[in-house]
Amino acid sequence: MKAAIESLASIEQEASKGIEGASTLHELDQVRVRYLGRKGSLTGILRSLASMPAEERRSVGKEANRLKALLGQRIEERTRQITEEMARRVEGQAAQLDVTLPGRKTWLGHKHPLSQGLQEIVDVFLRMGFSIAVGPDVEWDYYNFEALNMPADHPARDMWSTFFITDTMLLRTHTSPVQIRVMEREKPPIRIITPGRCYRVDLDASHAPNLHQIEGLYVDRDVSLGDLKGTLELFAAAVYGDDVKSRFVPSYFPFTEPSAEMYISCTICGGTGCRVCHSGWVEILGCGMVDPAVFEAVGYDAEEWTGFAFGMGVERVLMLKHRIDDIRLFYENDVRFLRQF
Amino acid sequence: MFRVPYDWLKEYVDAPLSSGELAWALSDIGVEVGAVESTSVENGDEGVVLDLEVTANRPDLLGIIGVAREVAAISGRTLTLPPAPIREAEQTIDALTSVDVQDARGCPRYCARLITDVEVGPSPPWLARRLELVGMRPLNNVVDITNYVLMEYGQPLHPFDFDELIEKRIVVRRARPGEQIVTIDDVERTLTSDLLVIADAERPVALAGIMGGRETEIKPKTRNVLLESALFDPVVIRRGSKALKLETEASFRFERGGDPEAVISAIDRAAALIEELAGGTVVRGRIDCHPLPRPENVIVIRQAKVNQILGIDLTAGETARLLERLGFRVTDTASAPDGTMSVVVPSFRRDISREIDLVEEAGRLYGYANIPSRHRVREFVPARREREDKETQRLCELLVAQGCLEVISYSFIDPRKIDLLNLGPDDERRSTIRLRNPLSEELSVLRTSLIPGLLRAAVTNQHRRADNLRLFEIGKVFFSQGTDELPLERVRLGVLLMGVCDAPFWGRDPAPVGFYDLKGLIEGVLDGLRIGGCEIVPGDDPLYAPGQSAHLELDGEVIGSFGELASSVVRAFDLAGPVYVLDADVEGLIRRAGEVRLYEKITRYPAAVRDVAFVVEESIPVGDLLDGIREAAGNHLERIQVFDVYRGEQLPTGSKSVAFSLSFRAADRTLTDEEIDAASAAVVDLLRERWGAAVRGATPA
Repeated sequence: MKAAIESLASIEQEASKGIEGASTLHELDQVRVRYLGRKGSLTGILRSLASMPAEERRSVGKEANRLKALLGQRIEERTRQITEEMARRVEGQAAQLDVTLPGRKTWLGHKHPLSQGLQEIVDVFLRMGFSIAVGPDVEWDYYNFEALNMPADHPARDMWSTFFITDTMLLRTHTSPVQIRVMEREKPPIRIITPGRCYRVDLDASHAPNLHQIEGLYVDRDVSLGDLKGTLELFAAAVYGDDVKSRFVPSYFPFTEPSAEMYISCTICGGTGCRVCHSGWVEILGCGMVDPAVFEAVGYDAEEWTGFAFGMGVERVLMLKHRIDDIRLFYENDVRFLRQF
Repeated sequence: MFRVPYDWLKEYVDAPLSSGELAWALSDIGVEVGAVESTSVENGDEGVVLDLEVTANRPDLLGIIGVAREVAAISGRTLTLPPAPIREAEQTIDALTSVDVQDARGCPRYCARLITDVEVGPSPPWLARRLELVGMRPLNNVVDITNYVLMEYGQPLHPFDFDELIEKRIVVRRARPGEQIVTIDDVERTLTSDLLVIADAERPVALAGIMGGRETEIKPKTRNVLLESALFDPVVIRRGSKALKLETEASFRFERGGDPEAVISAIDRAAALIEELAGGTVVRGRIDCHPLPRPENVIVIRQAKVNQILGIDLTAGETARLLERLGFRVTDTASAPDGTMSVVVPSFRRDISREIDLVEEAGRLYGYANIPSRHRVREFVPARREREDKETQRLCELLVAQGCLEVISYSFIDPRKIDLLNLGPDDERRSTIRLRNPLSEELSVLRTSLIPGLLRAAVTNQHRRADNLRLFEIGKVFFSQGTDELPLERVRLGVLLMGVCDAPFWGRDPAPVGFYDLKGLIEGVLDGLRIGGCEIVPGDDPLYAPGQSAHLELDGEVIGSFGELASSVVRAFDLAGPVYVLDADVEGLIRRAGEVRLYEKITRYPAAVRDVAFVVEESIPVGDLLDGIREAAGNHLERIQVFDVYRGEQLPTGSKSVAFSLSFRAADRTLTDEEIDAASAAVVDLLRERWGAAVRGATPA
């Protein structure tokens, strides 16, 4: 019995030393296995209790169980210590982190500003119940001019310097041909917007040989110039902000009558007049009531239906909004430009 | 465009408006003032010029009196026309000359006056200065007076040296083919029968409505002047001007249409001025050939229509007063329920022919600002958004999400760039559509491929020191279908990758972009569009480096190709470094984009993973092995990932090791080790049988 008690004492001593000496959870676990594991020495003594005489079993058993509980408690305590030390060490490392070093980035993609602008404008009109309609970039003279109240030899044709492919085939100078195509195949009411590329023989800081346009057409009973104003004022507020003021002045387009140009208060100076706008106003689009001659060309009865149409250059809208001073930037595709939007 | 000196304008209408106020008020009724220029600083509005942007429908505004009429309408002041006091001589014009209009349609009115014994010399300073203000160069008093009156009335006049006219008479006729004339710009022109000419007994002496001839122009020694004031057919003049590529102050006005009454006023005004300033004697009377007088233009207008179109509520009387201020005569303001009125259009408003034209006239003077804006919701029409549009947007977003920048190039390209693409002689991309009137050779044909545009963008950026490029464009390309049919327009996607594949980071060396970066990007797009079953097969397009490209096939249709550009192409476009591009048909892609997906239940049973590496011959495509694995592994195989491809010392030459990670899972239970082992064994067997694949190592997870 004495031998057993002595052996328990030396287990206590060695195990205590081992627990104290363990510096990682792995080492600590090895200590636990050595004494408390399935084949551990303390476990061995506890297992041999059964074969001991009753009195010895009682005293050795009591001592062994006490030791088991003690070691269990110390291991638990040491586990907590090691865990805390580890956490402290990690925190110590954190103190050496240079938070000013650049982070690891991925490439950031960007939609072209024209795509973004086109989408924004289209969305405004989609919310007002306009549907998208599209058509070919290469058009017949009939759809680009004649059906729009510009027969051959009409001087207004000079308003658009046109790229021709043959005598009758050309690059559309506006997306109005799409309006004609839609009216030819559908009956009123019509409420469409026609985004798309157009072409004009022009190249300087404010003209590109191709440009993006959004036109709109609304045909119904009793559509008036008042409806046109209301719709376009909502558009301007959505794109340029609620504070923007608008002004409609009479103008001339062969396919609308009455015709107007819409100006908004300059977004740079707020309408007081500056180097960019001079007058405090900038022109953003052309519009008007659909000319009866256009209705006649598509077989609508101008006595029954009235309508309005408008058209704007997306480049121009964006140049005003972002203060871009050269239209060619849109087509140069310099990544330093593209990444700004 | 049309320069109107402020003090000149004030001579005809004395409106109490400064030049700035006038500019604003004119713009408000549709007479756009592009700029207000001041030529002298000290004297307020003196020397101020309003620069008008006159629209094509308003030739009447190409004369200062026409502009004054608008000012009178705005201000309510009366218009004062310039005086034309002529002291005519005894002798009558009919005794001295004659006018024979042989083409009445081409020349509906021709007036002539004769002034004798003029002294050609410089104009007085006030006249010369006014011409300079409107942008004309003073020449001599006679010519300057015709130009002065042109600016006043907008009516072109032409003075002939009467003594140079053979038989001293005028014939208005079509040119005879091959006839020649030297015009006052010293150009000898050969004429066709499309052209209308003013001739004397033998030869053309002026291109009618366009330009006079050299031989009969006013010279210092000219004594007798025949003055022409006429009206010509707009289409004839426009065609002639286009054919001769000659646009003049006269042709610009005639092709927009003239005022038959101004023909008379202008010739009398000019004769009076010549008499006053050049000392001549005006012969009695004028010749007035008016073969086609224009009937009085009367239009019926309904007040209900005015209100309907403008969205206002005026009475017929109010509309009548607006029209009258603009020079219209309203003959009866009937008491019909729709307020029907008859309106007589003045001769100077050739643009007014329909009721709608009068609606606009009333509206513009009423003021668009006074028309109330309406925000009406009427019949609710839901806006449609086509699937095609949505999927194209999605495609764009998937590329942006993978770090690409969208570019937009011109639809035109340089045909020589197509030649640089290494294309085969019959490649459809070679048959471009050529513009008749391109801006330059660089922009002379419609693009058949997006690649030249992408390469152009790459060159631009590389020259500006941006070498790492991930660009894409979605846009139309054009293929000819002959001249009787519009071209075929296809929307394509182009992608270009260059430089390194990851954004620069200090903790890592950048890896150059390669074939698999581009392929991964494409796979991301296909996954994002929910397009399954895409076959990637080795490609042979000579645009790419040999053996470095692939075709993209869906349902047996080639919808695109991608790979490394041939080095000759890269060099030809002045680029440095390998360039990877994709060129694909967007419609082919999005047509197959998956429809709305049904939710697939997410199982809570665990997956079991087996990693296995096979050693196979180099020539066996990994795609085949993947197909084999899917075939053998049974329906619990959830996912296969290729996680290593190794070639090296430890392997026999000509072979490679490919390591796969196979993930198994069942929806309704946890798979047993036995099931997974059996599936793995089936895979091993099949790969060994079919491709002689040896297992290099297998570890349980």
